[in-house]
Amino acid sequence: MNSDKLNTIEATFLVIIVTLAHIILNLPNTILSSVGSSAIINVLYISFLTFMFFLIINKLFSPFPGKDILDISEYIGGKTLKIITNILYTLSLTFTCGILILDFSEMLKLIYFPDAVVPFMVGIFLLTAVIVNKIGFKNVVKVNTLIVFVVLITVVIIFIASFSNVDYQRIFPIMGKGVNETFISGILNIYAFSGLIYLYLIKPNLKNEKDYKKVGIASITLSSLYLLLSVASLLLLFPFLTTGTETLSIYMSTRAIKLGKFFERSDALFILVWIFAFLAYLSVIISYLTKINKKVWNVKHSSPIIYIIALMTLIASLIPTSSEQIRFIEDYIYKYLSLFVVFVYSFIILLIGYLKKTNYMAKRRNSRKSIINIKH
Amino acid sequence: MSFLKNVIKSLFEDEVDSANSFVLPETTQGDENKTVPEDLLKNKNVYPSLDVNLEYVNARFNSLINSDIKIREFLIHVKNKEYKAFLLYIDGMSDNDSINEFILKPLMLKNDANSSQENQVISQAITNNISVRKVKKFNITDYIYDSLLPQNDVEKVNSFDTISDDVVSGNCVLFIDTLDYAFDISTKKFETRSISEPKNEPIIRGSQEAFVENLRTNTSMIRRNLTNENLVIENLTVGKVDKNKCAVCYLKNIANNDLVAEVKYRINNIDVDYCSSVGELEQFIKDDITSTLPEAVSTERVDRAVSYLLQGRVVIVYNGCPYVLVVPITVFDFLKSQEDININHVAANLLKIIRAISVLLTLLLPGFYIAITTYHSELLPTDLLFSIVASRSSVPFMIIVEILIMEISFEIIREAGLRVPSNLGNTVGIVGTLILGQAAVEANIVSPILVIVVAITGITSFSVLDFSFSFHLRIARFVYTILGALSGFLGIAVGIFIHLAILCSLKSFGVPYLTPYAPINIKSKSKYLLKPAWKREYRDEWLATKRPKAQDEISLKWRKDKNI
Amino acid sequence: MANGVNSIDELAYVVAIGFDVGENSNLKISFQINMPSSAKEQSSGGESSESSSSVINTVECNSFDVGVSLLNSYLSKKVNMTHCKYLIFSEELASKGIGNYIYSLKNNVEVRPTCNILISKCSANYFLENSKSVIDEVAAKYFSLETSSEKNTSYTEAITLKDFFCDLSDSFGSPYAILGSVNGLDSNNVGGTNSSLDDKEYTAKESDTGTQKNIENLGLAVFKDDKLVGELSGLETITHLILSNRFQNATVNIPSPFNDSNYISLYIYSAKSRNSVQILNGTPYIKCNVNLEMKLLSSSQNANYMTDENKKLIEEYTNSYFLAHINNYLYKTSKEFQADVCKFGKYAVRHFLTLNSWNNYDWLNKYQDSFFKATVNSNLSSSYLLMETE
Repeated sequence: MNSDKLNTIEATFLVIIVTLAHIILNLPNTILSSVGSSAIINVLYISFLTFMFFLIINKLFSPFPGKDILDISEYIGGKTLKIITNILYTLSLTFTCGILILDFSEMLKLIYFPDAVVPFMVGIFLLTAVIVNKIGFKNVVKVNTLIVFVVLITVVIIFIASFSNVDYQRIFPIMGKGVNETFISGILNIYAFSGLIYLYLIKPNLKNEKDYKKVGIASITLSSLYLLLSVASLLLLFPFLTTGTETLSIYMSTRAIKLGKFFERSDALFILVWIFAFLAYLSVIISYLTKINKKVWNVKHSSPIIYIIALMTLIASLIPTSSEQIRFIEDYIYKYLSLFVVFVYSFIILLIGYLKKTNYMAKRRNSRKSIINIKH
Repeated sequence: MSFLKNVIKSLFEDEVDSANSFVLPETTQGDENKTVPEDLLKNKNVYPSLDVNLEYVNARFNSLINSDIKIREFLIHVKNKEYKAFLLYIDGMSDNDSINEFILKPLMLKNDANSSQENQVISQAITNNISVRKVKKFNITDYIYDSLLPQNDVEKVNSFDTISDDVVSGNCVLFIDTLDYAFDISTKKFETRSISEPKNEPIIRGSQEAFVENLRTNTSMIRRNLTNENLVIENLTVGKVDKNKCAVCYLKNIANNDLVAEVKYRINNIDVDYCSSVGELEQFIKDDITSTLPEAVSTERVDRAVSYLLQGRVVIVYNGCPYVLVVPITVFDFLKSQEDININHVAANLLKIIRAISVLLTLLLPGFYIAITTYHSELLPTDLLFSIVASRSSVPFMIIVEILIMEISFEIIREAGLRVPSNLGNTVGIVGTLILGQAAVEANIVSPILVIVVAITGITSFSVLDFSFSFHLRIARFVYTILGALSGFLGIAVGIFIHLAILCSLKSFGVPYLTPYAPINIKSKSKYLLKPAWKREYRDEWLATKRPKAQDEISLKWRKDKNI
Repeated sequence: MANGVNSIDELAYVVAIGFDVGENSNLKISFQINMPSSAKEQSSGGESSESSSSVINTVECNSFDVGVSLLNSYLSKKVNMTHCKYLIFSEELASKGIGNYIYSLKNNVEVRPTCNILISKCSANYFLENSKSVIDEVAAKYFSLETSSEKNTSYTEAITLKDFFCDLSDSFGSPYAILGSVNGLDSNNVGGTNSSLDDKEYTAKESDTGTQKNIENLGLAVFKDDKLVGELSGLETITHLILSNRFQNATVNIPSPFNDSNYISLYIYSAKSRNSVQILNGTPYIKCNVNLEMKLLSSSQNANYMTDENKKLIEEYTNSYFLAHINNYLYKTSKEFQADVCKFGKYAVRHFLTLNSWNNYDWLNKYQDSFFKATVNSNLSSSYLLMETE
């Protein structure tokens, strides 16, 4: 029964939800504040780089059909490296996930629930994710697919609705904070595509191995498109000097949307959609962590792992004590952590694995050749 | 203690992948679990001695207590000999006239045919003065079968199981001394409601024929409407004490083999004493026994059942119930009406969209109302907000109390209106909704806006065609109302999210409940909205039928031919 | 999670907030609060037109947020500003600078960025007291309709908190707001106090002549940084809208080319301005090329305005009329107010590569040195129902 296998769209949306969750919080804002008015160019630039990066990953993965990054690290460094990779993934994902949920809950508290206790709200999110995860991995994927559709449409609606207020002159000065900031230090904004982390894990779950490339290309294209849309609607709508310091940027842009005279204050509806997005994001992260941990630790039932991961996320969400710390963690720790995990560590593992495998195969070919030579 | 154990077990163990993993398109053919386990102790045959038989029958049918089990003992005169015999039937299920006229009369009367010579000469030939006579040896069985039972449907049976099954379905059985078998004579005739119009699924253009309680009538109606020799109607029995007949109907050349096997397997393996209706049967055979959602469509329309059969689904007819079950289904089948295919696809799609909107409204409107008025009042247009505030200004209750009062009283009115005799039902509706509602508003117990909200919710819930599906919506609506009251959009979002996950996890005979949207299949030919009648080329691909195409690429040949 | 603090029953909805200079403290804030009145009572009351559907509460305080909590202590219900339509600042307060208030209003979750900002020539409290509509019952509805009247007249522009805040924090231009006042309303003589011959020249003014007072939104209040520096009249606002490409439609009178003492009315339904800015030797050189599409509203006896020569004549008159006004407007904003309300900065910014160089250039202070070249092209497309009169 291959009921756990994903088709192309489901796999693509798994990757996209991570980017979407970050877009809803502060990703466009962070990019804007780091490069200024050249944000659109920067996004195009990092999208291109990510695209190239994925093509390399795809090439490196090619000798390992049906394997994920954990299998490859086991291939290189045995069980120890596999466990290290697993722990690194688990910790970094639960950490960022916890912080993100905390940030989102703080925002909800600020807007709608002034009396709410934030850890309690985080608890509600986690409880929902746990319940959904207990229903089954495949269901998380299915729900996620439905919800990403809704969120994607919503982002487009936001862009279209705010289109009438757009000043296209705001893309000037064209180089923003400078050429260096845009193209050299701006490379670091590639962390926006940290959803790529799934591309290291997703391969064994695909219905059709050949779809891997398709999934990667589709998810990167869509992610960058939506990043572009949201960055553009922020950049062109507001003076970037203010958005740089503004929290909840996308929320702010929805507050200005007027859908006719009747729906003047529709932002609560967008909040509804974003709660969906965050629930989906949380469920997806927990489900994937459960999956890899179940594999690594050889556990029969996934429920205990779900609880442990949810608990770890809750603990991570209790770490920061002020919104300033949340901002710092999101802008710096998360940035460098995901850069390290996604673009450095996993890449190196993959590269070593690839070299070892090809070397091994080359050797075998050579030895076979030499055997043939001897026979001759 | 065991309860606690179960709770802990359910918390820490996965139960998803163990019990029932029937998935339709991916299973291979050849499901072996088809055989019915038979009770060997009961498997008795007819004894040669009539007295023993009589005793056995008396014991088996409890005829001393049972008032409608009739045993008529009498003598048969055959060839001037007398045989003891008795007739077993159930009063009220058999046709008394035909028993009297065409069974007892020929058997009991001493007529000429009965008193003729012993051996009948079939042919006589004289060769060499030796006459050779071909004489048919007298055989009482053949004689009775051939000459004395002027009935169309007579079978010789020797198993008491068969006999008892047939007797309870209205046949009468003739036991004759010295014979170790009995004659099973079809004399079924019982009072049925005549075929009537569908009461609960009315449509305007289309057949006005509904199922009745009688299984045979129902299957004959299906057969009358579906003229194809591949229609298979297999009879199965459900229940150990009340052996009710049920018929599994499918088109042999279209329906998926595994699906048919799975349906029969499930029905055959229900170990219950009785099952009183299709509604109960549906709960016995559904995939997810804990969900409140129905996993089969039940319909009273013959044409609807037939069109489902033609799509490759399986129809289960249950004796004693004027509804039939259709499996497998998706959630979107509950939003289909037979009307849809009778009218233009644009109009049908408009209706379908309206139905989808009303499902959303009936599910979420009270929840959204309370969430918006309690937490998100800025979402309301200012004028509307002020009129809501004004209308609520003298209402003493909190909104949640108000809404629960209204919702519960609405449900009570609905239930009362259903249960009272039909000519009182209208009165209950009028008193309940009009007078009470008006008075409640006048007395400032509820606000008029809320009455509107509850009324819209009520009306939209009637546009959901399936009775059991609307039950699910009603239950979920209360949950959403409470969630909305507790934490506004956050609660509703959490509710919808979990609800969606549950919907995604459901299956109806191996078909995911939200097909083709989850798992997503962009290329699916069976989306929610209908295509024009001439473009419905494919059967629903998730049924994995043997004949995926229902129409030719060019179905309207006449158009093309004319152009050439 | 919550005890229903935000339930609509427990909230008092503010429809407009007025800011004045306080007598004892910094600020005097007036809140106009909607009174929920049951529809039933109104219908049975018969003469309900006199009953006001809103009340005005005034508090003295030092900051907006403290003012809100002071008001909360007066009222049984919690004040909620999500449905606030107007933020009114008195002229006196505005000329002292309102940046802080704008920032704290923008920081408030409840105050919507779509609130309109209005500078009243009288005190904000007085403005609110006289803001009862002649036509509408509900104050909020009246306010929301009032701002949309700019679509019909172009005498003002519906500036929202978001717009004002963006302009305030932006480096492209200077902020501006709606200008409003309480004017005497005499149905025979709307704007009667403006006795100028050219009836677009008037701005919102105060008058005590009418018995029934009504608010009037006309013209724009111009800010330099966060301080009020001047105002634009109705016609100047039309010019402003034309130059900043947000013009919708307007009716204007121009002196008749055929009869000196007469005017002809033109309905302008489309106006596009092609603006460009060049930096010549460090000073901006601003070019505006305006295209007008219009129809003729006036008609008189024995006149055929639509002949070729007459058409050309009217167009020429229009060109020169608007050119004069545009030049006047540009002069006024740059030299008098020194505030770039038209946001020519966005056309200038393309000449800069990075943010630093743009910020160093300091456009907002360079604008006053800029010189202009404006051209106007008008096209009279048709008249209305009467084609030609003999």
